Amino acid sequence: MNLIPPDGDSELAQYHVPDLEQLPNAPTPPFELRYYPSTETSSDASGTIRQFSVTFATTKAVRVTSIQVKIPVPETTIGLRCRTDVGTARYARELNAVLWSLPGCTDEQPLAPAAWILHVQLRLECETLPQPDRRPMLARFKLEDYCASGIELSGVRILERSNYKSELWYHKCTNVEVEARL
Amino acid sequence: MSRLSSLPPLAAASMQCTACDGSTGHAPVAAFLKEARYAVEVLDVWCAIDVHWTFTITIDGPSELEFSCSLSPNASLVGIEMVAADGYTVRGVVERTAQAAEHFDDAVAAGHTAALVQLDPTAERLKFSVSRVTAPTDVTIVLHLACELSRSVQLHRPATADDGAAIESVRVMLPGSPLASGDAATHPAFPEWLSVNVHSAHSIVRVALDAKSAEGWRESQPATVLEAGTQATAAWERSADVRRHLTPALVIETAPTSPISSLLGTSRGWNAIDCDSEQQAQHLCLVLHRPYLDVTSTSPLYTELVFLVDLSGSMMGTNLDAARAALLACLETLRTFAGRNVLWNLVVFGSKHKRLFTTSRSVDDLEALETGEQYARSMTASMGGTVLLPPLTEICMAPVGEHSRQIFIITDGQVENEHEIIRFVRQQSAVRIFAYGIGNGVSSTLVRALGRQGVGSDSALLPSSLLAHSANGSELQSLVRNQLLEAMTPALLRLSISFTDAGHDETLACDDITPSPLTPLYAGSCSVVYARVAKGTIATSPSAKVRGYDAQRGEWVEFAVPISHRVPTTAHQLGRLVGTLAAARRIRQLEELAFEDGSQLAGEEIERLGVRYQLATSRTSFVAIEERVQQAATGALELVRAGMPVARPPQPPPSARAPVCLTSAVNWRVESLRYKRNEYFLDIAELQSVIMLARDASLVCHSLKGSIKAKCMLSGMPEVRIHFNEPLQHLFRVGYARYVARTLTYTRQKYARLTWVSRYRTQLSSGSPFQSLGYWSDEPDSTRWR
Repeated sequence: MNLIPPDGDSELAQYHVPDLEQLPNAPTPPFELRYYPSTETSSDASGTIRQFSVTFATTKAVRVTSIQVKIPVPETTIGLRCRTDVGTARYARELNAVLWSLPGCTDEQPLAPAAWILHVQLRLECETLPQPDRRPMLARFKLEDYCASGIELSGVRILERSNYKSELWYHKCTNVEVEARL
Repeated sequence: MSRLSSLPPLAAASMQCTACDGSTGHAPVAAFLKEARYAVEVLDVWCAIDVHWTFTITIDGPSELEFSCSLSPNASLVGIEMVAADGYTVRGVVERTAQAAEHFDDAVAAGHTAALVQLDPTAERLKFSVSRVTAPTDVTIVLHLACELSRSVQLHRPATADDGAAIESVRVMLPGSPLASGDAATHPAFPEWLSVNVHSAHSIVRVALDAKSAEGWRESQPATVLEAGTQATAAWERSADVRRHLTPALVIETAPTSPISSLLGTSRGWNAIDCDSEQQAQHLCLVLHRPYLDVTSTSPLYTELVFLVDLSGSMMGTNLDAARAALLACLETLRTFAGRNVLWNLVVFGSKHKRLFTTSRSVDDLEALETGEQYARSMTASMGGTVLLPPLTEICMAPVGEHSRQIFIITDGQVENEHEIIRFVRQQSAVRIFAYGIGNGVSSTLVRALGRQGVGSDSALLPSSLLAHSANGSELQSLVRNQLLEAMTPALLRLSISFTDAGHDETLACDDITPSPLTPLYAGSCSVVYARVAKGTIATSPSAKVRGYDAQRGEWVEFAVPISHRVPTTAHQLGRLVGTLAAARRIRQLEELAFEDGSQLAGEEIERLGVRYQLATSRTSFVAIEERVQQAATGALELVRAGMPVARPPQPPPSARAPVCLTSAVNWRVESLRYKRNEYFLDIAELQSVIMLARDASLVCHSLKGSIKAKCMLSGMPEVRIHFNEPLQHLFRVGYARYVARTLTYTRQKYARLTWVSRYRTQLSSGSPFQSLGYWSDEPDSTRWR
């Protein structure tokens, strides 16, 4: 790609791959979002108690940041307790969902596969179990210094007649949206 | 921030011919083709072409000229020169492509005038970059090309019994004009000259310009028609008054002296000195020839023809109409072979394939022919994708009996497993393949390789416009008929050649016999074989003994070809022609091998041959650098030249100015920009959408959108060259990626978020193209769930 660049911001190219499997040597997604329902339920006077766990993990050494996970819960939920070591989780009643936020990798951490877990205990208003919720879990996060397409910059050269010294800066990142079907 | 976006910044990368000003910024720059000269020298089936293109650049200060031209697939670039107006000449040398590009960049950065010529073998184009021309001046680019003359199927004339001898026509294709077709109409007119010198072992009947391209040309020196063994000359010119820019094609017709009844009567041998003086070697070359098929004969042919037609979805429209017309013309022609033991079948393919008949039918079966014609009229492009290997395997593996099998492939698409197909076809020694590519989306590499790798002698890339145009005309029918006649002709198979010297019974030891393995010798076609022997081993006149199996007669045929002709070393350009073309043929074979297996060894051999014989290949390029010396007193760079000072050429009137795409006036940037720190930022941002199952994290599907953005804070008028790795190039090849080249209109608020994050700033190790690393990016939006 040779060009005389316009001053300021410009867009050089766009690409759209409808199915990444079609690309030769396309990397597999380096993350996993899992849901572990508990089969044990208990009841008391105020309602039925149900538990489940959600894990978010990276399978490769990638720098994942700004993780936001939305976990659907039944509409009949009257109370909810969350337990996680990292990040914060809160019950958004208007969305009927638990919103779990994780900071991800920090700059000081060495890059390595990592996993985070969230335990949720629900209190449902009726004794009978509701129909299973089929809404998917959603996750949004950012992978720094990573391209899902495998694209890499292999060289840049700047030619100018006065031969001034120039600095080249390079950044790549992938914003990921995951839909995990229950 | 200045916003200048009237012309896309990437236009410079995609133009056919541009000259960009390195000094004046928005001032209009002009580069014109002032004149073109072509000198053609033909020797038997080889041809040396000299092309002189003179450009006028009418600006002050250094500038850059970029253009490209088409190159016929059997031609090789064997030399370039860059000549200034005062006659100062810089000769190009061949280096490995990466090395040549590096030397070119370094020379440009150091302020030298330099030229780089790269070959794009897939697109069959030569790309030229001439940098830092100290304009205003004229620059002449001289190309030296060598090629084997290709026969054209339209020009075949099957001899009849009345003729007694066949007229053989060859067409000399000159390299295409550097003007893009869109520019030609608005480009100022320029004169052209063409001179031809033909050395032939035969009588030359006619030397003329091709009728389609002869408009506007005047014969300045009438063509001489001479007897065998001498030479013919002719010259034409086109004045600047005539506004047309089609490059002409030459047609040369020779009459073989032998009657048609004489088998292999016109084969001849040539002896040429290798250009490589260190090795002290000589090239022996055989031009093997068989006369055309006698169509009046009624002898059985023992041939099976299989038509393999692509009916994938992409064939819909003109491509399918063209394929249908070709198929109907084939079936019509087949009727003339009744009673001559010819079988045929039709196989259509897409994602799957199906045969029209379970076993091949005889052409005597008129009902089967009518069924085939009916099917051809009603067939639709509804078979999905293009999967070529399974039907090809099925056809080749079916028992053939005593017949020789010929396959006609008509396709318009690209297949994924090109390498596997080519490897499979190469193993099929008994099958002859004719491959036709229709339309613009066809894989030219595959079609050509099918024709060459199989024992088939022909392949053609046919634009759908041509086929659609002639779908109902006689041109397509004659093309198909001629190809069918060729397919019917009995061939000499399993050829072997040994060289002997007169007076010695021993066989001459020779290496590098090209092509390897030898292709069968079909009637009506020439087959050129090169061999290399050590110098001094040939005492007197050598000869070659050719042995082959005649499938029609069922017997081995052996004949001798005297190597009695010597390549005239005194003639301009011809001395090294044969040796260079032998190397070019070898390189072409190696390129197919490297394409097929990605063989590293083949790549290295291509580089070795390219550098040794000074040939532009897929891995070697020409670079010409005009060195300057530094003056000790002033420190200024000055050209080392002798001769008269260059006069400024007259400015053309405004109406005759070259179009913007030719002049490349940079109006999206001003040169007066100045930055304290010159920085260039590149950002690859992707959005990946993934659907997975929560119970086991198994992947359902994932898609991707991406964008490459840049932020330029550079002074002056810089040129940026960016290289990405294979995945992005693959995306461009398959059409998933596109250049957008637009200036972003960020609001101030948006721009404020593009902040520089200094903590990521780290120095890379030396040798990296990046001096430092860092990023700017949008801060993540406050997430709002829907």
